[in-house]
Amino acid sequence: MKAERWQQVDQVLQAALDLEPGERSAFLAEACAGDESLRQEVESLLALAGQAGDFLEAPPEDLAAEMLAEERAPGERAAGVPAPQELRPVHKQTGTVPGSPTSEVAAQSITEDQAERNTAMTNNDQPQRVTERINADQAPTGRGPFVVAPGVTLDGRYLIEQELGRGGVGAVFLARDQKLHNAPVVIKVLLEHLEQAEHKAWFEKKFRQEAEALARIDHPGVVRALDVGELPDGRTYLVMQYVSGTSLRSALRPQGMELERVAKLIRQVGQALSAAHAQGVVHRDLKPENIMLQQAGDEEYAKLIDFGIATVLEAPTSTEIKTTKVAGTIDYMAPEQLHGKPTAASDVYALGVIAYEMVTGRRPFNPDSPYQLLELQRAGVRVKPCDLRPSLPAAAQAVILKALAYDRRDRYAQAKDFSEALAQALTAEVGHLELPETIRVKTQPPQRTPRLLLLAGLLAVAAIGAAVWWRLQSQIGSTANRPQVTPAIVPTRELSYWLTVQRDPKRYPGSKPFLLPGEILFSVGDHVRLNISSPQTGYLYVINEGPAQTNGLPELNVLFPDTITNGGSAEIKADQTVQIPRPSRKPGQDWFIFDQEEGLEKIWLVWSERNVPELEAVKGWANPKNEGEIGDPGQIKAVAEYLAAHAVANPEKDEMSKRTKLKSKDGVLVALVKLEHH
Amino acid sequence: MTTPSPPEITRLLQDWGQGDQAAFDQLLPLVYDELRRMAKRYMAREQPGHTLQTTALIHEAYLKLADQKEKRWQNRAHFYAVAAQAMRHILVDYARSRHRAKRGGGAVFTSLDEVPLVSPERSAEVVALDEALTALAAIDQRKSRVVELRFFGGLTEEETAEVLKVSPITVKRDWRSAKLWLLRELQRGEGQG
Repeated sequence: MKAERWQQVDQVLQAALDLEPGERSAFLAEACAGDESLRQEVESLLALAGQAGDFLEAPPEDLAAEMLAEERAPGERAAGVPAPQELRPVHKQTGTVPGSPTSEVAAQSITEDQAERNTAMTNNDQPQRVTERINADQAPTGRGPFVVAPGVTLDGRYLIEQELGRGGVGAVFLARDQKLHNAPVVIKVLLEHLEQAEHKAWFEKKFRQEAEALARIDHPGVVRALDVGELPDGRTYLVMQYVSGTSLRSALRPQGMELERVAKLIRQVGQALSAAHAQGVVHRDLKPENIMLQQAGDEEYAKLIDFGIATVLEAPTSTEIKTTKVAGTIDYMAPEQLHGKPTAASDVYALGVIAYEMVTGRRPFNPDSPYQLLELQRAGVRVKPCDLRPSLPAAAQAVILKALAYDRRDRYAQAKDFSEALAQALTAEVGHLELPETIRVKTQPPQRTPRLLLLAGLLAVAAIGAAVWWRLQSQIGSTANRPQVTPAIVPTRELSYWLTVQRDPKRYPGSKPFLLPGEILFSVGDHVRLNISSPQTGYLYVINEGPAQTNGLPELNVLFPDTITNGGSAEIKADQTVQIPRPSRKPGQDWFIFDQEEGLEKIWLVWSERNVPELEAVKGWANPKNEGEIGDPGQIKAVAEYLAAHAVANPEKDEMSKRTKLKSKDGVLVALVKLEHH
Repeated sequence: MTTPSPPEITRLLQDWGQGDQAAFDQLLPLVYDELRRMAKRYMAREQPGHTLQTTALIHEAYLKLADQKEKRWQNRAHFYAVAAQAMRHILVDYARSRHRAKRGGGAVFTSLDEVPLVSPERSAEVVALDEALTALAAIDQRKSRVVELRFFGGLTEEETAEVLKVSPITVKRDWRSAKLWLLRELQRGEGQG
């Protein structure tokens, strides 16, 4: 085929792909009139549209793995390292990318599912056979590094079963203690090939010191260190208790957790942290994922796992690597830790962030980078916990904010002081509110009442907000649409959306719904639900745009507000989640289900601080008779113009929370969600 | 064989970003060598059986080779573009050798421990894809590049758009029709078999 001919084919092909499948043959007949071979050419390509779904979508990773396996010729093998074939595990490992800077260091947190899988592994006789061949005790102790991998037994006792994760410095494995009824244990070891050889000795020493310190911590709220050993090549390894249960992450709720439960858990974590600090061990990587919740009878216990030993955080790496490695975890880091100097006070700060998140469902800062986080931390917490959860006692808010002080000297001296103060403030009955004596604000005498303190805080924030507002106004130079809400408390508005997806149950029987931060290409039969939420109170409108009609105007359907849910009102509360389609008792009614081979659903989300007259005017069409379709051309025009006039805000995908977020300093946020299916 | 300094790589990336094709030709062997070197190092420290993503390897090469003070993501995208081509060469060379071995070697004895992670069929697919991509380049250079960047380099639509100096929507459209074209080409190849 000549290039010119292909261009012609491609042009018609693209136009046809933009159409609904049913409209294509008529289009082709017209577009290829008189050129039968062109039509055949395009049709032969269009016919493959149904098969093209997964084609080329996954990177060629399995091939890369094999290629690399062979890259290492036998002659190049370092002494003491078994040949790759000898170590090749019978079970194909999945999960994190080894050694990749993007892979997170997995915690010891193992879900029940994984635990089951692990048990299944032991029952397989295959790993045992491998073990006999490459027992660590028999391995030659040459100059080369010793490879810790599934099937290897350390000191004739710990049979490595599975790698749980690795970072730039250390790796974590699940193993069985063969001397103790095959009890599961977690083993941590420094990587054999540290990038910077000159730091290796330092890491090794540090690792050993901390391992020994951890072994001295005797507290039910801290994962227990069981043993410290040495690999044939001299590296230290640490054996730790395997902690089952669920992580605190899974207990967090968008609207905040029950305050009494927060008090209980925070108190336990604070005491555990203080016990670690007393032994000179700083956690360094405190986050909800590293706090495991265990149930014993009716009581719930929190246990700290994955102390920052052999994690990437200590590594003297470049800032770029740091940003990548700790992606998703910097949110809990104290300012001094971002500067590379973590102390016990950094753990107090992290616990403050966790407490904030437990009571409000959100973190105080949502930065894009460590630099931005530092800026936000320096500016102080703008969105106060009580703004998000008005029922929160003011004293509890003051305690949390103190833990989040920028200067570590302004925080609580000890983790248990903080947790005790917070637990008391949370459980104190209204009317008996007392400020913990440790609360101090630099410019204020410590005897002030909480109410006055809070007022002073608000005034200070209002002053900052007013300055920002003034600047914005002078830039815009317009007084129209001035929001009524004072910008003092929340300078940046946010709207987030995420999708609940259920793959076609007919094709994927037993598949469960899962969350996605943004759009993917869907297939026929896939079920999708759109969830929308904003941390601020405002007005939400959701409009579905269909193809242009004969009069040139698009077909518009009002999806929200409707006459049934939310009392027919567009006003939504802070953190209220709106579900589209609306919840329904009839099966299948609460999903969008793609029933055509190919197409594109455009869904407009409009969040505004004030109600939008153009959109208020059309919400009446969302009645059972019209099913949301706007029937008045004048109104369609007005809505289309409104949408066109408001630029779509820049979305950012947050893989951590599985949400797409839009942020703006304007009072209006517009998003266009495209659900493409083929 | 010396590793080029990060500032040198950055300079070449910038030159290429500004349209200097010679800079790309200088970059390619540097990145190619580094990817192969890293592949060897990987095998010294990882147990096989792990699924290693080509994109992860490229990312690590970037962290190693590029100037970390350089924050422009456009340079990163350009680096990935070079690495995509290098990765294509490496993978296809490898797949070709495997494919040949299978065809010429007759029955191959495999014990349980030596079952290859990748079937010879997959190798054949990669070789066929490479040939189809070359054929596509003859009639539509840009679409062929879009596939190379996205598939072998793992670039996003936006990054691909930046490298090719087109809009993301163009990338999206190129991608969907290139996929159809390649699919048809591969199926024709099977038929002729």
